[in-house]
Amino acid sequence: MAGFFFFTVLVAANGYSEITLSQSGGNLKAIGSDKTAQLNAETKSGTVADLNGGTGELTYDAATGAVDAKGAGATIALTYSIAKIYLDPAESVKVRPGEGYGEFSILNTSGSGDIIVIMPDMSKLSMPPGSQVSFIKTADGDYYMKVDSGIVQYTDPAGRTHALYTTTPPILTKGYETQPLGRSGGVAPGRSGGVAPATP
Amino acid sequence: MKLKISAALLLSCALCLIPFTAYAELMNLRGVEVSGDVGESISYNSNPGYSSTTEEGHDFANLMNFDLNVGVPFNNLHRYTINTWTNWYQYFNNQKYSQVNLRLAQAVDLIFNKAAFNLHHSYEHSSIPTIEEAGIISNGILKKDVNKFGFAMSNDLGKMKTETGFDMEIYRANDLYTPLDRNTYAPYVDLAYELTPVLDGYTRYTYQRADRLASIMNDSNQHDIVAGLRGEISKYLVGQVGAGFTAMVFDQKGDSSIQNDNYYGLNFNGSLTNRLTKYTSQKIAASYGPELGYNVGNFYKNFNVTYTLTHKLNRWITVSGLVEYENMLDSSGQNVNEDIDLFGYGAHVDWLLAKDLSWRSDFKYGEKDSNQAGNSYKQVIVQSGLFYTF
Repeated sequence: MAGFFFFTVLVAANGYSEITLSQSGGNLKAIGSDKTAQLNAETKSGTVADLNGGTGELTYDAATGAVDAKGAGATIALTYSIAKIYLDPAESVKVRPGEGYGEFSILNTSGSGDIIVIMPDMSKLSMPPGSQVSFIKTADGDYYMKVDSGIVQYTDPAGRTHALYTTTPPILTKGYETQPLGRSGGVAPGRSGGVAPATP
Repeated sequence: MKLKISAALLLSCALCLIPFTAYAELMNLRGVEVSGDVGESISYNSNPGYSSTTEEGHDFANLMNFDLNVGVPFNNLHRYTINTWTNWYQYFNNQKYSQVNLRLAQAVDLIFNKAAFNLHHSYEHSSIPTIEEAGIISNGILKKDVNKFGFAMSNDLGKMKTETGFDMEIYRANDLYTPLDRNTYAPYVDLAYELTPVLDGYTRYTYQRADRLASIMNDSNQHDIVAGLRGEISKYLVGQVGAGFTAMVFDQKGDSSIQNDNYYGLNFNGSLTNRLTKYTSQKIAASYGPELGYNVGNFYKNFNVTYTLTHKLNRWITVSGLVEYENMLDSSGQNVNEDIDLFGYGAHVDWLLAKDLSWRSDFKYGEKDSNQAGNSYKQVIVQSGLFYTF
C-alpha cells in the first residue's frame, strides 16, 4: 500500500514539458500539451510548446525519417519510440528510424552537455556530445541497445552504473511486455546481485 | 585458504576468455563483442538457511561475482548472444550454505524489416529464489537446476502486430523441495492493434501443460486469456496493464489425495514506469493469478506487487530502493490451507569510483509469515564490494 501511495504522489508531481514524436509514412506528428506540429516533405520544420514552459524546435527529413530536435525555454522530455530523451535548453538530438524491425537511433548533436535517456525498465543512458546509440526490437518485444559511437554511461534497472563502448555487446532493455509466469524470450543481461530479486 | 580458492576461481574464469578470443580470431569473427564484470564482496546474512528459528544464527560470507556477455553479429542485423553470471558465496561458519550460483543464457535473434525471430535457451543452477519460491521455502536452501528452451516470432503488419512463441521449462530441485520438480510446455499467441502511435491494445492466449514428477502432485492444463493496453498509457506512465481469465485444470494422480481442486477465475498483471525527472524514475508492477502448488494443494492464488525507485544523485552515485509484498493462499481441498505473506524492502547504492570501477552496496530485509507453524522466517542481507567492468 505504501508503494502504491508513494507512486501515485510522485506521478502527480510530474512537471516536465512532455513532447511525443510519432511517425507514420512520410509524416511526423509532434504532440505537446500546448501545441501540436505536423511535419512532412513540404513543412520541414516547426515548434512545439508545452504548458510547463519548454519548447522543442524540430526539423524533419521526410526522405530518411530523421528528426532534429532542440530544447528551449525549459527542460523538455521528448518521447520517441520507447525512449524518453531529456533536453535542457540549447541541447539537441537527432533521432531516426532504421531498416530493421522496430529499429531507431539517438545521436547527441549538442556542442556540449550530456543528454539523459530513460527507458521503460528504468535503465538510463548518459550520452556525451557526438555519441550515438541504436535500438532494435527482438521477437518478444524487448530491445537490444548498442553504442555506435562514443562512450556512454549506462545505469541498469537495479541502479548499477558502468561504461558502454562500441565493442560492448548489446544490452537488452525491456519493452512494454512483461512475460507471465517467469517465462523469458530474450536473454537478460548477465548481471547478478543487487536488491532485486537476488536473495541468496 | 578461502581467499586463495576464490582468487583461483577468478583467475580461471578470466583465463576462459583467452581461448575464446583466440577461437574468434581463428574463425575470423571480427565483430565479436565481449564485456563483463568481476566483483569481490563481503556478505552478511542473518539467516542463510531460511530457518524458522534463530538457532543457526547469522553468518558472513566471501562473495565473488563474474559476469560475461558475448555478442556475435552476423549478416548486418542478426545476432548470437551469450550472457552468463556466476556468484560464489563461501560462508565462514555455516559451510553447508556455501553455494555457487550460475546462469548461462544464449539466444539467436534474426531481425528483418517487418519481422523478427528469436531462439533462446538458458540454464540456471542456483539457490537464488524467485519471489514465488521465496514464499514456498523455509528451513533449508533451495538448490534448483532450471533448463529453458523456446522461440518467439513477431510480425509488424502495419496497425496490427502479431507474436507467437513456445517455451519449455525443465525444473529440478534438491531433495528437500522435490515436489517442485516439473516439466512445462507453453505455446502462446499475442495480437496487438495500434490504437494511437504510442499505444497498442492487445490480447494474448497462453496454454501451459505442467507434468509434475512427484507422484503426489497432480499434472495440470492451464489456459490464460488476457487483454489490455501497452505503450504510453498516459502522459507520464508507460508500460502495460492486462486482465483476463484463467482456467487451471488438474489431472488426478493415483497417489495424490487432492481432488476437484481447479482454478477458474481472474488473472491480472501490470507494470507501469513513471520517468519522473531526468534523474529519478519509479516503477510499480503487480500480478494476480494461480501458480503451481507445493506439497499440499494443487495451486496457490498468488498476488504480488513490487515498487522500485532509482535516483541518480550525480554522475557517480546512484541510489535505488525496493518494496515488495506477496500473498500466497494454498488452494488445498484438504483441511489445511496455508496462507503466506511475504514482505521485503531493500536499498542499493552504486558509487562509480572510476570509469570501469564501482563500489556497490546492498541491503535487503525479507520476512515470510505463514499460518502454519515452523514455516515462517526473517532474513537480513547486507553486502558490499568492489566491481571491475571490462
